[in-house]
Amino acid sequence: MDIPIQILVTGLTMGSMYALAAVGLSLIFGTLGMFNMAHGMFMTVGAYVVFSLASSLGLPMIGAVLVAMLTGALVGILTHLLIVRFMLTGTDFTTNVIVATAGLAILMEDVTLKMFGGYPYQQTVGVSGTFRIGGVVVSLQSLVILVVAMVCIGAVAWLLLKTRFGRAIRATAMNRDAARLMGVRTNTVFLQVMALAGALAGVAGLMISTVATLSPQMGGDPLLKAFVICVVAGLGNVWGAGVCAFGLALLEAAIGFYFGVRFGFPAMLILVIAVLIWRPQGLFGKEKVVRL
Amino acid sequence: MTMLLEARDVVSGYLNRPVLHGVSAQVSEGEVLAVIGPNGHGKTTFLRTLSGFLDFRSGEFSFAGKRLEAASVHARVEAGLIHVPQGDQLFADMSVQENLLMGAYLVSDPTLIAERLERVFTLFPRLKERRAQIASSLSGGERRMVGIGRGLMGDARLLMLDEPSLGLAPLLIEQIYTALAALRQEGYSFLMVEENPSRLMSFADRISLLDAGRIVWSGTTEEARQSKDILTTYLGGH
Repeated sequence: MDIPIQILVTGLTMGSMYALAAVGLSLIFGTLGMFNMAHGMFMTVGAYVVFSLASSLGLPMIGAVLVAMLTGALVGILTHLLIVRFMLTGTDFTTNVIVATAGLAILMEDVTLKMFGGYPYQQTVGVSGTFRIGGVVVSLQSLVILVVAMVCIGAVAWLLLKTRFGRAIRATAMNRDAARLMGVRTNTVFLQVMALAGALAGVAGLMISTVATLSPQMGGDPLLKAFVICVVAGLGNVWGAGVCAFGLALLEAAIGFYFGVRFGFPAMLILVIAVLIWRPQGLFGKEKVVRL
Repeated sequence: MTMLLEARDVVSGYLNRPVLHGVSAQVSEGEVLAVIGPNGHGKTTFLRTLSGFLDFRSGEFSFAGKRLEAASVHARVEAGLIHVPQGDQLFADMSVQENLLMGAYLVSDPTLIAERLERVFTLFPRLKERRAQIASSLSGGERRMVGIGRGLMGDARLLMLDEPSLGLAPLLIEQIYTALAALRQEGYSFLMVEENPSRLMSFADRISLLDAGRIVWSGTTEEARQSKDILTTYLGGH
């Protein structure tokens, strides 16, 4: 009984972090049609800002989460205002923006490296202590990660499904021109989406840093996994991304446990290839049907 | 009657491809103007220019006393100029009710929104039965109803309808036009575009014929009926 519990605990903790990253990535893709290569750096910056503030001032967990959110949102807003906004109406937006955000990610990573150096730091906020489920020792921090992720994703789901603000975002994602005809200022919606996704990424970065370490490259691995999750779910499908984040994390945990941790990520990649062959539109994606 | 919409010498089009070469149109309060003409001659471009998707290269446009040729799409919607686009352009993954609520995006009074929703359901009872259904699963006629209903949810003073009969069976076209006639009774003004003018003869007040980006004929529906040869020349006989 202990082994499944262990896998479940590991999987849910990882899934929480993947979901925070993937939901934001998917939201941006669905609304702006843009793959945000700088999403990993949104996470890194969130983690480092909390680290700097907490090292000098000390921060409770809840304060750290808020700081990470604000930082991520701010980085998202700046990315939109300084870069994305100018490319949106141009030709080849989807390709250009990948190059632009990849460039931004390199720049931000180098600035972080310059400012903090390359050594891995230990995140200063975090909850210590453990509890037991059956024979399995679970850290309180894992529980914090799960709760924070659930609250954040629940809040985003509520926002998207139940509010006028969220309805405008979904409308813009489904049919940009029609949304404008309803009086939606789509440029404002894009900015709001970048802020929202940035906030989620900031929290993801903070959560990752509490169980791993801080380094300028820390966002690379979660970005890759978030991308894999988005592709498996169907690009731009926000709900699918949330579900797949947990599904793939549980799979990764199980494979890590039974076959060794080094097989976890290759197994994910094999799954992606299989999904892309079997259902190219992703598990939750819709086939594009042309109606005349 | 006071002038509600006035467009003068509108020149617009797509990059390197001008489509409209000086189109004028006027709609008074409560009036129905139908712009007809063969496909690909600028009818949809004209509506898209008026709603702000395409830039005015030259020409003037005023609506409800405001100069709008340089205004954003959003500002035109706010002024009460509502464009119901060709092919409905519904929000495919939203329910019928959510689509309708999107039409009221700029309306903040919840009782007003509820009233208008009820009115759309009275006009198209079919939509009330299907209010929770996802838009992409609707039939063509139901989609059209949602498209028009969505346009009625905002503070519309004039509805620009792009081919409301497109792709529908005769019986459904009849239903749609019955609903439009009811809206006319309530005082809405219309600027409509149709390829097939037959149904318009009993609905429009005035008709303009748009050909190759120019208005080549303009007159009342009565005049259009008398000079049928003009219309048949352009539209290939109806």
